[in-house]
Amino acid sequence: MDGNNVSIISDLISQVEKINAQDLMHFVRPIISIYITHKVINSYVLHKTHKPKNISKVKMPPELTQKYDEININEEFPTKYKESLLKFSKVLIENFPKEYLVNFYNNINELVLKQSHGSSLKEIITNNLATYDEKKNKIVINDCKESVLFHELFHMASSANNKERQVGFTHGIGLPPIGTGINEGYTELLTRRYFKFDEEDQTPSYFFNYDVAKNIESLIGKERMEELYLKSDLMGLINELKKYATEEEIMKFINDNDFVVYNTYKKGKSLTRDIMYRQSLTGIKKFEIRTYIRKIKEQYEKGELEGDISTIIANYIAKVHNGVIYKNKEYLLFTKEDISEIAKEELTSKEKQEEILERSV
Amino acid sequence: MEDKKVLKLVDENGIENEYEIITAFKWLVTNKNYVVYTDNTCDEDGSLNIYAAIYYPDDDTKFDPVETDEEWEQIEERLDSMD
Repeated sequence: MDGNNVSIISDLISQVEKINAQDLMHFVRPIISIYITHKVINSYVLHKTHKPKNISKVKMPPELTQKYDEININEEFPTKYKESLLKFSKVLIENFPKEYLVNFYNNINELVLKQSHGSSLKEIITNNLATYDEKKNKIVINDCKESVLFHELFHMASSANNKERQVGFTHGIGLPPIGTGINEGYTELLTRRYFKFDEEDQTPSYFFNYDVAKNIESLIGKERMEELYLKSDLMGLINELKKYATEEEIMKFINDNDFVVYNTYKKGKSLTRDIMYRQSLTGIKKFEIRTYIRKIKEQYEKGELEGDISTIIANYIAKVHNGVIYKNKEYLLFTKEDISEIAKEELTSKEKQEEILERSV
Repeated sequence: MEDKKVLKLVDENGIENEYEIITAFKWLVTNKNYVVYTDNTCDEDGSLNIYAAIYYPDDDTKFDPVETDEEWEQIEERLDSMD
């Protein structure tokens, strides 16, 4: 090294030694941003002398009370499943904004997983391969495939861990909790969307609910639905659906989905239950058709629709799943008369009603 | 359009007051969580009245005033950077 270089390096070192680390901190912004409004503020006055007094309770939005912002898996988590957990975490972090992952971060580091052997009476009766207990933040797994574990991990990632027992679209204010049908269907949808799906893994009891969840997502939008799910926001989902349905219609739709998911595997004969089950299935499909027509009609009236409205609606109805096998019998969920009735109620033009009827059945 | 975020403060008489949250952040220098909020009223010049406090994600009974000049400076910088 020649004399000039030594001199340059010495100068550099002496300059660096003069830098005050405290001053540097001013340029480093050690802030974790949790939320910023989109509100435009032209001018403000910050009241520094104002001090909050006699506050007995502070209610912050859940997404602003995040406990963790990084993964640090519990040491006691079974090694056998750690890789799956890390895989799940990576997929979520890569695919969703951090703002959607508050529940995920709050739960993952304290998640408990217990291996079961399927021998308990409850497990035999319910035929559950795995369950997520939101009160204990615990997954009980019964030696099943990885996709089943991912399904339960989505429940964990969408659990608000609160006394209202909000998990995804489930709201546990009553027993059983409402929203379970849509929640299970959508959890299944996300599991299949983000992880490799093996046909053998398909859970028969969620097949119908999965189909429904897919149709609702296409109604309100993928990004919005994923956001509401991960933020355990059933009210948000209801508000989105209110653009196309009344509150009464929506609550019936939610209840019908719950009835289906709770009764698909119910054993024992019950004529009343069978009738109600089929009525629930039909009610669900009619809701889907009705809300779709309303959405298309809205787009048509705003001039946003490309193509003929009758053709679009008829094509949609033709693709709606119209058959279901229940207790080894096949049933039609809606008839020509059902479509005719819906078309009459939703569309004012008689010509369009007839066109849709002709093309869709 | 994103829904606004609302902070609700319940006083000792059970009366709940609502405020709109402007921003919330954690400052690693103090390791505290700050919330900056407004009641959406304006002063006589038409400027938005804004307040700030320290909140605790794990304790919904605590809500402390901002005390130091450095903390206020940080909050003001944050507000100004939002432009």
